[in-house]
Amino acid sequence: MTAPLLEVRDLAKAFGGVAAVDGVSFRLDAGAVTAVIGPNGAGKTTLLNLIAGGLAPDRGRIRLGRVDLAGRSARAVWRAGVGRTFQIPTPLASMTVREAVQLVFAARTLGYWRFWQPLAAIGHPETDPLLGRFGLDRLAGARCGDLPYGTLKRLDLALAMAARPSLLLLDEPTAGLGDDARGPLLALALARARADGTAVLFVEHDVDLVFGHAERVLVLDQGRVIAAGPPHQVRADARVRAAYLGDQAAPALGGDHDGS
Amino acid sequence: MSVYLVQALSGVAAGSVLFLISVGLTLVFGLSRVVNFAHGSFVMVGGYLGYTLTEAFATGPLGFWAAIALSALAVGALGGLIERTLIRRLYGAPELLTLLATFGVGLILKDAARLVWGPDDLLGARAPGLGGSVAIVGTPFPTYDLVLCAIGPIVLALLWLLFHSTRFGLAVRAATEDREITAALGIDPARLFTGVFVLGATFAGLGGALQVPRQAITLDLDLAWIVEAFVVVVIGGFGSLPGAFLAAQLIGQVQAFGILIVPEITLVGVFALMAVVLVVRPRGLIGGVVVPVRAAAASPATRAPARAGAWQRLGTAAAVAGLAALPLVADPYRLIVVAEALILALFAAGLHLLVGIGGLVSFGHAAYFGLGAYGAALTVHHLGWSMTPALVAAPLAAAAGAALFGAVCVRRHGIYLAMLTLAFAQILWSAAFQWTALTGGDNGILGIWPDGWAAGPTGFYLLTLAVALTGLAVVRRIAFSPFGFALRAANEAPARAAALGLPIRALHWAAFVIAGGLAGLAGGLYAFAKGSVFPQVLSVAVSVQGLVIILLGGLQALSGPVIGAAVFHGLETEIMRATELWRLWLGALILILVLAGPGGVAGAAGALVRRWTGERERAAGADRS
Repeated sequence: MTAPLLEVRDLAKAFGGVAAVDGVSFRLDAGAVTAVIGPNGAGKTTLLNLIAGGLAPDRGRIRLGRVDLAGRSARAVWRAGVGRTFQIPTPLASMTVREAVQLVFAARTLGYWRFWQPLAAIGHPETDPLLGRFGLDRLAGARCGDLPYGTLKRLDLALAMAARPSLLLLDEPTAGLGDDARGPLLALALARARADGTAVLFVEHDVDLVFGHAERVLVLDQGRVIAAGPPHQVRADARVRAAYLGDQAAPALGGDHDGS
Repeated sequence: MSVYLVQALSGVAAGSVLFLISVGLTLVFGLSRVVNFAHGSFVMVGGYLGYTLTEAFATGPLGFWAAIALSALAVGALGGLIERTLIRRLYGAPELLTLLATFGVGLILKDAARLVWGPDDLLGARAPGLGGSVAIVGTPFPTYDLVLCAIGPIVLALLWLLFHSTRFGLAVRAATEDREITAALGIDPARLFTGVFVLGATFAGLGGALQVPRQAITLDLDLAWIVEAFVVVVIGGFGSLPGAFLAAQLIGQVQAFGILIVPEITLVGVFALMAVVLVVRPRGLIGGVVVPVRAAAASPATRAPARAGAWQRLGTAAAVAGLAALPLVADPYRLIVVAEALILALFAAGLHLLVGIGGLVSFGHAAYFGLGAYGAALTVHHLGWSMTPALVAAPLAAAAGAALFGAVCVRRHGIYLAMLTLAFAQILWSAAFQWTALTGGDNGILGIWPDGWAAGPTGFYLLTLAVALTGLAVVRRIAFSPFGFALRAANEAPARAAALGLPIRALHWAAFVIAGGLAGLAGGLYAFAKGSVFPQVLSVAVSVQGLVIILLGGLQALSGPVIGAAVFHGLETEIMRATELWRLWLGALILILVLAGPGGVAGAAGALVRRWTGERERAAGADRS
């Protein structure tokens, strides 16, 4: 058995005495796609933020390959090869889409320590291909602050993936999008990840999408993992059903749903 | 032994007064998150009212204390009026705007006081019946100070009771802890805010009035006290009542014993204490409220920086050509005025990079202007350097200072950062005042003249023009370089920037150093323009001037500092020529700017045009229907 890409062991974080993440352990192989689901307040976003850096766990380990990520800064985690998106992306409001992407490529090579040459004049050969891959080429000159929400999320994804990370963290990638935009965005993210060999860990509320796209599903409840495995196995799990029944409507799990 | 006891007691008396003066600042901040720069003006007005009323009524102890109480209540009423008309509009605004607006109020109150009481210092009579002294273990101690020692703890006890046993007090505490809660409690938050503001102003007025028998009442009391009150609030913890008391007493002791031990650095000691507390315990000695860092959306500069189109390029070229040709047409006086405006533009250009692009509100940028001015003056005065090397030393000294202070400042955000920058500027200001062997203290350093070729108005003007244009060009390059974009990203979307691997602190530090260096260059030029340097170049007023300029010109583009400096210096020169009351007009200008919005003159004009055309369109639409 080969070593996993990401190994999380006994991870815990409490806020003011309330355990948000309480002893979570799991593994993620290179190129694998795992979804994290659970009722509201289950600790999904906290788990993602602990891995993404800038938030120190109370205990536990986060290993990416040979690197220990627990308690590191967001910048250090990015340097280790992790990209992330945000549930509600904040636009780089004053920049054009192209400038934002150019900045990301500059960031990869410490190019931001250049004070004289204009960013626009430096350029990067991967800028246009990246814009094309995420369907942003026609919007390259648009200001990020003026983009519609769905496009902003697509740009956020492109920025997170520009450095071809080995692991991509998606925090509710489809939140705030209309029904017809949710599927395509997640599909785009996963297709690009597959093409780059990037593993994906994503938090998602839309359970139909999760069961349609994830290879494995991790179910959190009150900060603990209550089930983990392939979608069909998780869906049949009695504890998962109970957790969801206690919080929201059971059909959301999609067990008796015709579409799943 | 008894000397120390008396010294400690006078520390307690000073601490008591300081507590009265600071308590309002901390309570208002805790509740509304507004840092009220005009709070020191309440002390000043309280002092003047106290002088007038005690002169009129203080024939006996009863009349004296009635006059003191009446002064305090009058200041409280003034505070209520200002809160209702102005402060109310600032709740939730970025700290840059609240600091500037309340500074503007302070300017207006200062000139109002000058109108009523005149520019001369006023010495009040001693308190009836308390004019003598008592022997403390054989050493005389003023009886009046003994009364002050008691007043501080009494006020603390009364406020404690108010906040722990009245409905109003409980509501204030609840709202300070959690701002959302007031609505749930069914309390009108507007009343709560006004009430606390009036309370704070009243005690500030009391503190000022109580100073009448102790010190001369002057127009400078406002800035002197506000800066000390800031120190108390920071050390005690923003919004903490017991913290303010403890910090005031601590500062009272530091000052009392500092004078015995190292008289030269008492002022430095107080500000250094504040800087240490901000770094080690940012929440203060007794857990003040945690101030959330405002989202980028609330910071004034989220609009795109202007890129130069063909017309702008043409306009810039024309402006540069016009400035270069100015000596052909302008008289020497006008050349000097324009040179001064160019120096201000250079100073503000660095601030534009720091505040407008980086979103770091420095409230102590005078530190670097002053380091440059003193750097140039000291090398000329003590080392006998000529102008050219001194003008190289100026930005280097300032950049070195910015590198040192910036390393500490960039570890904090928002209001904490603003207070830290202010603390460092005040440290330098007090050092310039007190280290007379090096700086000449209040007498300044004289005889800093340019080299022969730049000694005439035209020569110096052309030198200033060349240096300022170079500085502006550098800032423009930097603004559109990868560094400039990274700095902007860290301001507009900090979490996104960090998750893209941008080293935010290092970027901020670099911006600090660059802005400091440019301010230092401006300061160096200023020293040669004036031929002298005084501690005033390091004062809060200079820092605020820089912020007013970039706000006046607009935060979005580099034309902001230039237009701002031109308008500001032009107005200042004209107003100062026309009237003594330039502070009044400057204060009013600041208020208009802040209330009109952060777009500056250009932005305001644009908004007016949009509104006008919008109304015409609406009118046209109404005609059709």
